[in-house]
Amino acid sequence: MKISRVRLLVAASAVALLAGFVGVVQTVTAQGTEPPIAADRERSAKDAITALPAHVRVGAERVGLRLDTSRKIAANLYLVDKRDGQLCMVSTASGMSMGCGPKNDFFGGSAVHYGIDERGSADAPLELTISGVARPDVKSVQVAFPSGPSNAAITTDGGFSITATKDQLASGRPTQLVALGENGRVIQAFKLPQG
Amino acid sequence: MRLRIATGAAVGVAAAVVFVSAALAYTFEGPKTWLPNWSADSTFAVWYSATMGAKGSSGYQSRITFIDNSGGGWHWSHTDTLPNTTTFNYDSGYYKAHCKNNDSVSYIATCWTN
Repeated sequence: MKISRVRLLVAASAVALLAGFVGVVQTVTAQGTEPPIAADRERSAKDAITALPAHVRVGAERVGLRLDTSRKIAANLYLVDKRDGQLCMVSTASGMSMGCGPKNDFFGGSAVHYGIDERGSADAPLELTISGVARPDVKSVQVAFPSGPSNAAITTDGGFSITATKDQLASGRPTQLVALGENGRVIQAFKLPQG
Repeated sequence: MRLRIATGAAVGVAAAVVFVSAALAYTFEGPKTWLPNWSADSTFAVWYSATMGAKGSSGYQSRITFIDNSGGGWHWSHTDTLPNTTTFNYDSGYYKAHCKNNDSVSYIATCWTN
């Protein structure tokens, strides 16, 4: 009888462990596959991308970008749907540019997606902005410049944006972006291109 | 009967839109495997946009830039980590599009203009 109880306890523990494991896997999967938190929120007037040249509007139309679905998530950064079902992270920090991917697997296992917008040559940019979209567990990002780190909190819409100062640019290109969670815990680090 | 004609017309219009969209894109390099730092240029023209895309998955850094034919100046250089990376020609100037594998690993991609 005692042995049966022990077996029962072992079996129950195994089931509990398995359930916990499945829960963890489901949580990780959900973090990796869910769209950005602002992708489908209600739009307001402040979400519109304004003052675009006509040539850019035609170009956006030609690639299937639905500018009427834009949602502003940080300074000069928007989420915009495409007609083919992709979701785009559109930056207006320098001209207009974007990165697009599948809406329902936007993060693809990454904690953040970032874009670097520059004016001037790659060796000596005159202006540089790093902006992006973060998963809900990311609370801030840190960009490492040779002169020191620069931090940005994640907005309530899951975006961030850091524009380099002249002193930071004078020290060289940024080398790394780190996604930080609660209490500054490092979630993921990205090596940034140097050219 | 009316419904059939309307459905047929809608399908025809949709097919035409897809065909025209595809016809508007001009592939200037790829699909191929891009080693780190490999790059390619389009011809000079007044493009609407340029894309380094069809990467299949995210996490690979690509750079797209427009370069002018007078001083070789770079305009609106953009790098990101999503499967399709695009930059728009913001002032409708006469430029070549420049795309580059800006990552430390190789990946498959295609570069095209619109």
